[in-house]
Amino acid sequence: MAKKTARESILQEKTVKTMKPKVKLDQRFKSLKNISIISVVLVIAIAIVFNLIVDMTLDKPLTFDTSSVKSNSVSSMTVDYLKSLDREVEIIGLFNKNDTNMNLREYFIPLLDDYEAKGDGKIVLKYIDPEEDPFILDELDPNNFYHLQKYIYVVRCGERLIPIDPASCFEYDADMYSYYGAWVPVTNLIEHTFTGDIVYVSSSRPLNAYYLGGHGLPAHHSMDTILKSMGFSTSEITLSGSTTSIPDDCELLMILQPQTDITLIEKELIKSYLDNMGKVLIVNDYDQNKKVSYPNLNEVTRYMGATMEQGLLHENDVTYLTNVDDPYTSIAVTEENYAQNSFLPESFNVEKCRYIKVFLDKADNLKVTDLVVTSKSASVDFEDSEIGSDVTSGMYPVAMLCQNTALGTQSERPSLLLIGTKSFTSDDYYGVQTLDDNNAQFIRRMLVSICPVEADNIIVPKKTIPSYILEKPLSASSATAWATIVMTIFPLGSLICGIYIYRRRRHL
Amino acid sequence: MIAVFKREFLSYFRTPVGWVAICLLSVISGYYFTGMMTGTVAYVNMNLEIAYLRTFFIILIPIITMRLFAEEKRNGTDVLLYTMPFSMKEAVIGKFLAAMALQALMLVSVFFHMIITVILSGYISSATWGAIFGYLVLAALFISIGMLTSALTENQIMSAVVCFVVLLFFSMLSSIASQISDIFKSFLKFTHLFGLSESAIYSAGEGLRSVIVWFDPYTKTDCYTSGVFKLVPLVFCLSFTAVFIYITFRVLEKKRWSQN
Repeated sequence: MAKKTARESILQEKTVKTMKPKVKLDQRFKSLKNISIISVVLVIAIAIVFNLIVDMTLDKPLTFDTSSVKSNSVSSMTVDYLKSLDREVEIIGLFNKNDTNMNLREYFIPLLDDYEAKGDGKIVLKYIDPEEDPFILDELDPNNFYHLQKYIYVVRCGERLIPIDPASCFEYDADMYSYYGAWVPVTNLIEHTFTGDIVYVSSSRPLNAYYLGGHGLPAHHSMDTILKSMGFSTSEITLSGSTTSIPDDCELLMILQPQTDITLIEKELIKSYLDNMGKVLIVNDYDQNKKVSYPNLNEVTRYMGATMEQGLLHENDVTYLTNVDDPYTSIAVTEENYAQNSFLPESFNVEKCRYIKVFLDKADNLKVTDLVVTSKSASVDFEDSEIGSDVTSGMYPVAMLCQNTALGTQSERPSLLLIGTKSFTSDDYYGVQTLDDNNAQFIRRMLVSICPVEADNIIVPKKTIPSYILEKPLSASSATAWATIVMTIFPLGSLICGIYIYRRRRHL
Repeated sequence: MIAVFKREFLSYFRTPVGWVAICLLSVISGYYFTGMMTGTVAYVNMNLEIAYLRTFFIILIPIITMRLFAEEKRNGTDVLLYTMPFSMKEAVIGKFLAAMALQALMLVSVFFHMIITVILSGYISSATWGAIFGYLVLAALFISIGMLTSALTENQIMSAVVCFVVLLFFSMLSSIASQISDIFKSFLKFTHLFGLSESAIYSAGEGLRSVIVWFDPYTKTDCYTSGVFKLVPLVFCLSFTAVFIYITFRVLEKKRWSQN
């Protein structure tokens, strides 16, 4: 038994001796494994934390717009306005920010990010998909007044809200559409639209402008943009049927290019509106309605001291003509006396201007000011040549301001802004000109002078989109040739090289 | 490191791998470019082509990276990496740079298309260069992932499949995030776990989605295609590239001390 024990103890001793290095090796393996795992976890954690810090601190300051027309960043005009904001404005995209089905999203996402970045915390940008959160539509528009839907933007400030259709934030190439049916954007209006709408929703006092409908009212998107940029809300009103009065909240009534005369009821309502410190804008379109007489509308203008005649201004000074062959398309200028006291631009584009003049029997309390006039050698072409036999060549008004000085103070008194041409307001004109040109500035300045407008002159210029369309259209044969080069020669060359090398080296 | 880079880069062209990868990318890009050029309207926007090519990373990156370490292990030549007079870090970085160089070389077809566009009086915007930059930054991140999967196995096919799955996961991260967010919202809604209101549940779901999407490299680098340069996506991609290179190094170093 004792022998056995001694033998066992010797064996045990031997086993312990041989086991010692193994245990050491295990410990070393374990510690190296732990170090390895810990270091990997640590490196990942450091990378995440580092990125979070960079994301939170450097994302906005270290973002640069590298586009050629700076279409991804807001202009200084917008930045200045955003800094002056005294309340929070929300921009809500009704879709998922990463949704690639949103058309032209590459133009919206970076620019709106820049609004938020430069908004000093006053601009809150959100993307909410109504399919994921159906309550958002009810929350934004409980009465379904705006018919909000997916893929549109909403600009909201307090109770005021305006929806923006992304498709309307571009101007498209008309030729591409008519020839190929393709909507190719050529002008970027995103900042132009969003800044205008932010001005509108954030203006503290709501201003309402109404278009008088029912007399062939034309499309008025350009005027809408101008007015919204000044804080106006626009809508149409028809003074017949159930609506028999001009709303009390009407700050401006616009009668744009009427194709028919107003009714007797409308005449009385407008006169009564003017007596209550109303402001009216009347714009003529002589080209479309030269044979229409406006006895009722003229009675309104005469009530304010001006009259509209059935004649067309004819510019005889060639230096005023934009096209020497067309005496009806010319430059008009700010009236000399008025120019001294105003900040109006010097010249304006005028096309087919109706003859308007001071009403000879006007009341003494009516002050009529010529704002924009022709050259001193213009004349008038009448439809009926006998009427105008007494009209000589001279300076004729293109735009006039009529005010009743007996009522209210300077900014309150009843005012009529009478314009003989549609060149200051029409979509046709602003389709080829920008909304910050002299004519648009004139309208804005005049509305500021007669209406209690807070914001002025916040019309962001349009941005041209570089055209990706090939200037030299490809013929069918050259397109095939290029396609062959691109699709076959280059890939085939590399494939042949690959096969050759494989055959040469497959046994190595 | 330069020696490893040279050897690895040239080996792409001593085997069909490099040629096939170049052929594949030039066919894909050529198809897209031809589509733009010969459409009803010849609207050639190179940014869109480069953005389109990014979706093929899930195929191209596994092809490029599958053999980086897996082949060495299979042939037994990986022992040389441990005995050569350069560190394992240099070997890993050299191989990474070789794969990056091939990826950059593959863009030669895109440059070829840009030249054609200029010849045909098309427009190459600054955003196109940004898109190329974003493409390469994203490629660096994905190559480092592919290199890691290659270091984990000695079977090239297995390496390519794992890399494909990982990159597929990244390319679907946005939609996965939306799904997870929806599930999370439904879970909170039906269990009434914290008694949250509808808007609070929505906010919680969106918060979770944002956290997941934060890791999406595709979304992060989208800005480069739109003509915006941001530092954050660059830092994100480069830092995580470094992380994956480090993990690869750790995986390879394991052989020095592992008992298995």
